[in-house]
Amino acid sequence: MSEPQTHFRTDEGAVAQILDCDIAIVGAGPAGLAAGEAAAGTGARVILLDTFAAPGGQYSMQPTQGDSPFTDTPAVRLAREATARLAARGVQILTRAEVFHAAKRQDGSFRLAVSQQGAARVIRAGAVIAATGAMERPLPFPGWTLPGVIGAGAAQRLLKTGTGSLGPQGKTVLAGSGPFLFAVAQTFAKAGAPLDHLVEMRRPGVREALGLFLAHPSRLPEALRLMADLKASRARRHSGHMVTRALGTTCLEAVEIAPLGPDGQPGMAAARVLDGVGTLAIGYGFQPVVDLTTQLGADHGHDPALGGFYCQTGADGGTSLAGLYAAGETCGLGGANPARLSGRIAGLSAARGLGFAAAPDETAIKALRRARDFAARLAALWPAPQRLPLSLPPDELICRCEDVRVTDIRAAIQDGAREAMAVKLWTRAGMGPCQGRICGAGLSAVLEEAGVTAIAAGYNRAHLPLRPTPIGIVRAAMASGEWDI
Amino acid sequence: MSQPIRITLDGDEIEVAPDLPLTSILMERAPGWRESPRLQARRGMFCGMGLCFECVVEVDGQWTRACMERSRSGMEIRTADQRRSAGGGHV
Repeated sequence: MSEPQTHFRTDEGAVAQILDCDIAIVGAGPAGLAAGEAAAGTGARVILLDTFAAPGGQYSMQPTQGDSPFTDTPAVRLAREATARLAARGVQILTRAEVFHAAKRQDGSFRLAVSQQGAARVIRAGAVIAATGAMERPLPFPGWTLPGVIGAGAAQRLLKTGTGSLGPQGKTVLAGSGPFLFAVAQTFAKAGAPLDHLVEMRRPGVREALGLFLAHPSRLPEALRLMADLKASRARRHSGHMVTRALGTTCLEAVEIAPLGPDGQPGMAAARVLDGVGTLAIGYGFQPVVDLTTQLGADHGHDPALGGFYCQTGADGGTSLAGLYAAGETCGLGGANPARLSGRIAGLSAARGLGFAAAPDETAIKALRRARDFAARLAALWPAPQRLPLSLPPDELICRCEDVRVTDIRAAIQDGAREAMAVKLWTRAGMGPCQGRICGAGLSAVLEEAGVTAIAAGYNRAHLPLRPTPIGIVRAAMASGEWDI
Repeated sequence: MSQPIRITLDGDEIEVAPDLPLTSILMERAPGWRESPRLQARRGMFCGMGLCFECVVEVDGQWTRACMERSRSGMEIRTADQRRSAGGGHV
């Protein structure tokens, strides 16, 4: 039996605090910070919210330890300085604040229900900017639920915010696909943490890379630095390989890898086992976090190169829902540069929409096009796998929250479930605390096996609560009288 | 490095750095600190950024995501190890 998911903390009788602003920005990564600066600069009252303890998002995540080698990196400084400027402008920054419900009222204004450290808040806003970022797009493989198997982004986060060590004894393997793996390898090198193996599905050729940097020469130094740091990490590089199994009884002990054949399938005859592994950090790319924008009912598109389902926006950052803007990875993956630029554009547009004097920043609009072009060309060098890279044994789990096996999902599809939502209702996959954020890509890949495309499978529109929230806080926010009936 | 603080992990008093993500402490000392609901399989940190809820742990009697929580002097952490030895339930 699965237990209820909302028993984290219950404060019976709590009353929600009401906060007023012109523009509420959800997410204080590079996009949200830039949106905040632009909007506050027009005189609009801004509230900026973030789940984490300090602004910065994933790109500019702030170290917790004073002796960390990451305390003064350009990315960390960027968020620290932007936060100071925002505070000086009177922007209210709520950290450790999680939006669990959002609605647009008939009068055109928005309400956000927020859980912050045991307290309920309801934010009244004239406009909302969703700068909710991206998360890993995990693809299931045999053994992926073993402790010690973590996301590539999780490894980076732990190295940057922790002591600089991952913790588990044994070797460390970094695996998956895409340029982000190099950024993670760089983090290992900077943290002084050993990285033993790098297993990458694809290594783009010199000719392909040349094309990218001829079009965007300013990005070459950064890429060369990444490659130098990768070398410095001394990781053994297995190009054209993938992880086919994580092995262990209660925890990860070994990793099986195999070379990919011309058909893209692993050649199991040539598979071999890397022994004595304590951590496998694996990442096949990212997906936009769209729970806020899907709940509000904005239009979403699907593009594998943008990470799957993304919130559609116009050139001004506006979504299909008037008053709702989106910036950064929420509108499709692109990295920190498009995030900063689209944040600025959305911040100005949201303010203009509410009557503040804010001319569009044509330079930013042009720069965004160029930054998006670089991101698209880079993504094209590492196409994200849409299907499961290898066939899963029937007992392997797709949904980690509810322990739903691939065989349960295949059975549901055979019985007629042809959409992500139907599979969810039949199997409970996606009903647990992660709300389908983690199993979404795997579920969609199993539907693909049965001939259902990702677009036809659709996405699970998020609903209250967007994140598991103490029931007392949900009750306090919903009893505030701020919601249309 | 700041002065270490004392916390309790499954009944044992340990010294750790202050303000450290709990995932940092648990990955080293109890990497499979949670049990899954149906299969009672061991789980640990996965996404590390507050979205998967695989790293949920009991801190001072409340469920919380280890990746979002930081070490504070005197905090009491209980993992599946202790709940199992005490014959308790699972998360």
